[in-house]
Amino acid sequence: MKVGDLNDDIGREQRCEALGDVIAKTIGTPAPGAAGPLPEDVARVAARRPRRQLRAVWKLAPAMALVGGAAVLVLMLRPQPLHYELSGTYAARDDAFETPGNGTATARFSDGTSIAVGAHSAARVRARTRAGATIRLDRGQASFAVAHRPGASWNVEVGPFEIAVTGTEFDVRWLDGRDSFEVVMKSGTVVVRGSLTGAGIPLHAGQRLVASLANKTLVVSEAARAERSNDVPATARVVSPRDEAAPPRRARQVAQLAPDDVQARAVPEPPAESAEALARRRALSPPPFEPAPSAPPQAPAAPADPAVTASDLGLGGASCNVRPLPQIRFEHASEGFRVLSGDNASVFRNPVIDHSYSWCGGGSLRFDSSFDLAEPSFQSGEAVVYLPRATDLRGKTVTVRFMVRGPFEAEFSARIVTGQGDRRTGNSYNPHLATGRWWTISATFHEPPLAFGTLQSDLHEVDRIILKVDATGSYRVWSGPIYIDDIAWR
Amino acid sequence: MYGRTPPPLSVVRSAPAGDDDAVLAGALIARDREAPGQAWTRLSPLVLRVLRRYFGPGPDRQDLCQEVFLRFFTRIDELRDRTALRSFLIGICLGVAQNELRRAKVRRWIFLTQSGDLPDAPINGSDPEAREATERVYKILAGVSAEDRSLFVTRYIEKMELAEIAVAIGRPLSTTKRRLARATRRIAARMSGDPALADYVGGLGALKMGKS
Repeated sequence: MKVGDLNDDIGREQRCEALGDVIAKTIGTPAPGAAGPLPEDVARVAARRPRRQLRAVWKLAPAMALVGGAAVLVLMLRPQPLHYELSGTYAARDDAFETPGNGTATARFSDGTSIAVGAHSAARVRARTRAGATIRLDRGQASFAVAHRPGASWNVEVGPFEIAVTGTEFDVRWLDGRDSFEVVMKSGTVVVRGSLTGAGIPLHAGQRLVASLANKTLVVSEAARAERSNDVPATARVVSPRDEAAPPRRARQVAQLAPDDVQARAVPEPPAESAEALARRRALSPPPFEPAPSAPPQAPAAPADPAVTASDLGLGGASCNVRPLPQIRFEHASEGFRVLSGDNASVFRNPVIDHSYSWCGGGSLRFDSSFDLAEPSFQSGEAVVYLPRATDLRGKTVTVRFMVRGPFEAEFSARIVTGQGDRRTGNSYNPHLATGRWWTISATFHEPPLAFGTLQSDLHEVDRIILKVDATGSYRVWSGPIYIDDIAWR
Repeated sequence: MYGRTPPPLSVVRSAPAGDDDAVLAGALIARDREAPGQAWTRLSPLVLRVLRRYFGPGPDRQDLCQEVFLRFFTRIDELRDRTALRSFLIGICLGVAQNELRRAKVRRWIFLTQSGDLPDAPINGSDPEAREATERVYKILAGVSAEDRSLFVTRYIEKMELAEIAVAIGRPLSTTKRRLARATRRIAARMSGDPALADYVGGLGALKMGKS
C-alpha cells in the first residue's frame, strides 16, 4: 500500500470517528431502566433447559436426505435393461422358449429388435442389458432383425459359435444334428466367432456362412459382386502350359483307376434334395449356397510324405467316377485352356501339366509357388486359367480341386474368382487351409442386380477362372508346387 | 462505642467487566434462576443503545430488545468464551437488527410512502448542524449493506475493538479488518458525495486538529 493510500485510509477513519462521536452525542443513550423489568415470556425462555445438541450425524441429516433422494432419482432414471414380449405359438419357461413343429414365435424387444424363431426351434434369452441381449439358439432357426442403435450390443450363441451384432438382419440355422451352422446375412455386418473361425469372420450383407463341425469345413459364399481390377500384370503372359513327360507307370496307373470304359460306366444320380431342405433353402435369402456337386467338401488327407509315388496319381479313387466330369481336367495341354504365366517375380510361375500328381485322372496343372509374408507382392498368388471359350457362369457353381505341397506349418486361404474382360467377380474365402491335402472349394456366382443403365453382367461371358491363394498363419516364408487337378462348373 | 476507631478506608478495585460477564455467563449457562434478571438489568441498556445507534433517531425498540434476549437466552450454550459475553450479545443484537431492517425494506416496498423513505422521528439535540449531519449519515447508511452498516455502527459509534467486532459478526479478525476497511471506504465515499456533510465533517476535522 502506498503512503498516499494509507493517509487516505487514516483520513477516512478519522472522519468516520468524528461523525460517530457526533451521532453518539446527538442520539444519546436510553434512559436508565428504559427496558423495564424482564418480561415474563423472556424469563420463561431463559429458564428452559438447554436444547440437547444434535449429534453430528443428525446435523448431516439434511445432506444425507439430499444424497439419498439423488440416489433414488438416479436409480429411477437409470436406463433399464431391455424387455421383450413373446408372441406366436410357443412354450416358455423363464427366458427359454420352444416352438412346436407347426408353429413359430417372435420375441419383440423394447428397442425395436425382433427375433422370429422358426418351427421346431428352441431359444432362450440368456442376458439382457440396456444395450442389447444375448440370445442362445439351442435348436432350429431364427431370423434376427436387430435395431441399429449407437452402442448396441447383441450376441447370438449357436453351438460353439458366437455372432456379435451391432445392428443388422440375418438368419441363423442350427440343425438338429448340431454340427451344421448357417448364417445368411440380409443387411449390416456381424462377426462370427467360435470353432473354425480363427479370430473371427466378418460377414456382410448378402454373404452366407456355412460351417460343418463334422467335416470341419467353413465356407463363406456371397452373391456375385464385381471386383474391378486388371488381371494381367505387365510382366505376365498367357501361355499354353507344356506337357511334362509322363512317368513310365502312368498308363498302368490310369488303367488301374479306370480299367473299363469310364465314359460308359453308369453314373449314379446325385441324391435328390428333400422337400424340407428345398423349402428351407428357398425360404432364405440371398439364393442358397450350392455345395460342390460331385466331390466331397474336403478330400482325405494326403500322405504326409510329399514324395511322388505311384499312388500320387488318381488319389480321388471312386470319387473320380462321379459324373459329369469336370470341364477342365488338365490332362493335356490340348484341352484348349491357357494359363497366365508370371515371371520370376510372381508367386506362381512355371505352369506345366504334371503327369505325376493328380486327384483324378492322369495329370494336373502345376505351378511353382513361393510365398513370403514379409513382402506384400509375395503374400498372395493367382493361378489364372483362361477358358477355351467364354462361358456364362450366371447362377453356376464353380469348383476347383487343388493341393499345395509345402511345409506342414504353412497355412493359406483360397478363393475362386471369375474374370470377364477387365472385371473380376468372387469373394468367397476358404480360410485355414493346410498344405499336403487335396482341397475342393467352390463358389456360386449369382448375378447381382444390374444397375440402371447397365446392359450386361460380369458373369455372362467369363473368360477366365482364377484360383487366388493367400498365405496366412505364422509360417512366413515357404515355397512348393501347387497342383490344380480340375475346374468344373454347373 | 466511642472508644472504637473505625478501620481505615481502603480503595477497593472493582472487578473487571469481563470477569462479571464471565460469572454472569456461567450463571446463565447453569440456568441460575436469578441470572436472566441480572442479565436483563445489566445488558438491556447496551442492547437498547446498540439498536438505537443501528436504526438511528427514533423511539427505543423494546420489542427488538426482547427478541434479542429471547435469542440470547436460547443460544447461551453456544457461548465458548464467557468473557466475550457482550460481544456475543451484540452479535445477536446486530443479527436481529439486520433482520428487522430487511423486514422494514419489505414493508416499504409493500406499503410505499410518498418519498419512498420511512417516516423519520424528530431528532432531539441542541446542535442543529449535528442533527442534520446525523440525519444525513443515516440516509447514507440506509443505502449500504447490512454488514457495512453493522461495522460502521460498532466501530465508529459504539467504539468497539476490532476483536470484539470480530466476535460479534462471527468472522475472523483479519476478515473483519478487511471488511471494515472496505465499509469505511464505501461510506466515506458516499459522505464525500454529500457537500453539506463533507463540509460539516471538514469542520469537525479542523476543530479536532485545533483542539489537539
